[in-house]
Amino acid sequence: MTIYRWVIGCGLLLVCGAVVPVVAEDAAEPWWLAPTVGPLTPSLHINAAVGDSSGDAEALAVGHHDPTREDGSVQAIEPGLSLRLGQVEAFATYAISYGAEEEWENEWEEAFLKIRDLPGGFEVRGGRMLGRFGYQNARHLHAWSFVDTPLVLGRFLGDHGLWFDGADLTWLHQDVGVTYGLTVAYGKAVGHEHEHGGGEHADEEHAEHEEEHEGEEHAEHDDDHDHAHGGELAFDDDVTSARLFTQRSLDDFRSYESGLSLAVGDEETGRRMTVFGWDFTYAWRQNGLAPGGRSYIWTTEVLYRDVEDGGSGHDHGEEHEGEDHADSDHDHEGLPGGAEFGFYSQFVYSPNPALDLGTRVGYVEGNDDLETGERFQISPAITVYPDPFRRTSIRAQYNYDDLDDGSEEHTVWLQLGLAWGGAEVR
Amino acid sequence: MSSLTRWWLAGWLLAAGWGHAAPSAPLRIASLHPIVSDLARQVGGNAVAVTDLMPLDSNPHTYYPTPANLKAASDADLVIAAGKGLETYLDEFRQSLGGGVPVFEVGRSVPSLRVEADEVFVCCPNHAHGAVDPHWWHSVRNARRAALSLAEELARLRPESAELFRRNARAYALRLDALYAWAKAEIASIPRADRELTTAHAAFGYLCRELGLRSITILGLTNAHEPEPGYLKEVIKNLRDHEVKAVFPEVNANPKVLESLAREAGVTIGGHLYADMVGLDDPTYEAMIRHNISVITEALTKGR
Repeated sequence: MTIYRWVIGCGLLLVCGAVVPVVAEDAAEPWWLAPTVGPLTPSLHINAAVGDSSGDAEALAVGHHDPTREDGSVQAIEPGLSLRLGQVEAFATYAISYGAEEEWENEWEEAFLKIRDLPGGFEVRGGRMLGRFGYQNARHLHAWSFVDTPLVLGRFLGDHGLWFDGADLTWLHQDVGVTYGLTVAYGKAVGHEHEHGGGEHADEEHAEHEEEHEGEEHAEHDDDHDHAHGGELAFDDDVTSARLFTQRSLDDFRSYESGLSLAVGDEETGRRMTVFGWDFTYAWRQNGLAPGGRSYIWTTEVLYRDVEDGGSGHDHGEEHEGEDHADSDHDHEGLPGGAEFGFYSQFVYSPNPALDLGTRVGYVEGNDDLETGERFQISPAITVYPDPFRRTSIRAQYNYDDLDDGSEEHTVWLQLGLAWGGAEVR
Repeated sequence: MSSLTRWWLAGWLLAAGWGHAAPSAPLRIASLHPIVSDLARQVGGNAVAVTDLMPLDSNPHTYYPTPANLKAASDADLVIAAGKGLETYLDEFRQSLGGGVPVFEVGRSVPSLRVEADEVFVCCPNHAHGAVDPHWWHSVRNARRAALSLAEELARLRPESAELFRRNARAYALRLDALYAWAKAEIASIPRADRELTTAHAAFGYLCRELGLRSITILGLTNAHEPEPGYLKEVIKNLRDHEVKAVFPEVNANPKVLESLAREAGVTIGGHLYADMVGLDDPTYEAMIRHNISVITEALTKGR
């Protein structure tokens, strides 16, 4: 443990807290902050972070958009475009990022077409999308209250979350103050397929990584399984998911959302993986649906993952095409399965619209058979919005990590955010 | 009876008489909207005296309190308003009262619908706000919640009558449950494809959401707005495409736009609906809802 990191972290939090501006709550947002061109609504979100860590920031990260480079990571530059044409809607966003690999990565984060208000209360989406699983998975980085991904989501759903090319069908029943919904989705999980600006070595890296670890004790590199780009237990190929949820407004000031989620598919070595999730979010706003005032939001997600025995013992993504090898070259007895659970709970209090004070607690159980370690994390954060419309943000976050091997890591991040444009189609 | 006993008895009766307080004067309530006036009468019973500040045939979107209204309000124990921004003058009115009389927004306790972008899936908290539709009373279950909430406010102001207010509110809630069940059954008698409510101003969003009707509106939230010509063309096309059976004018509103639109689209004009007021002959909330639902059902089931 290094004291100076604590000092830096606390100093950042205090500085941010001290510069909170006084904001006019009834100020009207100028049109150019959320323009529309006919049925089109463009948007642009940028998030970048610098920080310091007592450990390896890249190894500690669990999500694709998490900062991984202490000298500065561009977590995402996301230009997006929403289309609203009656019942037909569409959304596309392209994400560009720069992290520990010191290369610019870019990918289509989402590109889907949606038809809403179908008879019977149905809506359908098709294309590439973030799956409706739990509370946070389908939300983009700019909607998060913390710099990085909750531990349990990164580990159980993969570094990019539940993300697939496919379709989902949602049934909605809406009444005054209450909505019930059921989403069923099927698609092909999108793997680690970013186009690397500096060279095409993604696959090579993975292959080398596997070779490096042949014959080693798995326990020695448990940490690597938390590594954002390890992804050994992420969904691969076909994945089916479902979410049953309810949103209820007790009045304009108090609301909650709760849901049960399920995702089933094979992970990269071919073992069948099932992830169950329960989420609950309670929000209170002093001014109800009008902007301004004090507010708080509390979110908890609890996930349980079960991985069956089996699999091929190697990555499906590397089927060794064109290589001469006998079956005996591989361990075809399969890998052991296992189960683990994890959760995160976060509370964000806003004494005014220019300031968010948040704390997140996260835990993942770990399982030796799955080669995943136990990990606990607590993350206080302060976010300051220097403009009256919360379009720019400065966020300071401290992460305390207690890892499986008994070690502790301390990390601080300072994140800058920019949000331009109107509401995105979701 | 000894004289000592007589003295004891007289003393006891005197004490008992003092202990039994005379019935207190009714709680004086000044109301800024006829719907909440009725809720207050239902919940308060004989323990309240409700004065309507706004005339029953006024339009709440254009009404502005007079000095006489302000005087009446300042003499009251409580001022009640519909809330949710319907009374645009409310902050000013409250200031004029100088804090001497509490102002209770009855609609504050019930969930709102947003006028635009009432989305289930939102991208971020920044886009979760929006203008609120103030016509919350067209949801019967909202009215039920409001009545129970109003009972608590009255109980707070007049604790000795708290049990009465709560009992009345519970009894009224049961009647509203029956009203809701009746309204559901009535709307269910309309063929699913015809469950479309076309009105001039956007006052019936709550009714449509609660009872499963599709809302088509021509004007904005207040019936003072003028429609864009392009939008009118779109509405006419929409009415034709959906083979809408009837359009519904509103009591106390100019039906000109709606009539010309109905002519253009070849659509029947249904009966008049109460949007922002109650009927003069039976100025109760229940009668208003029964009237509206009957008018809608009759027009949309005609010719089956």
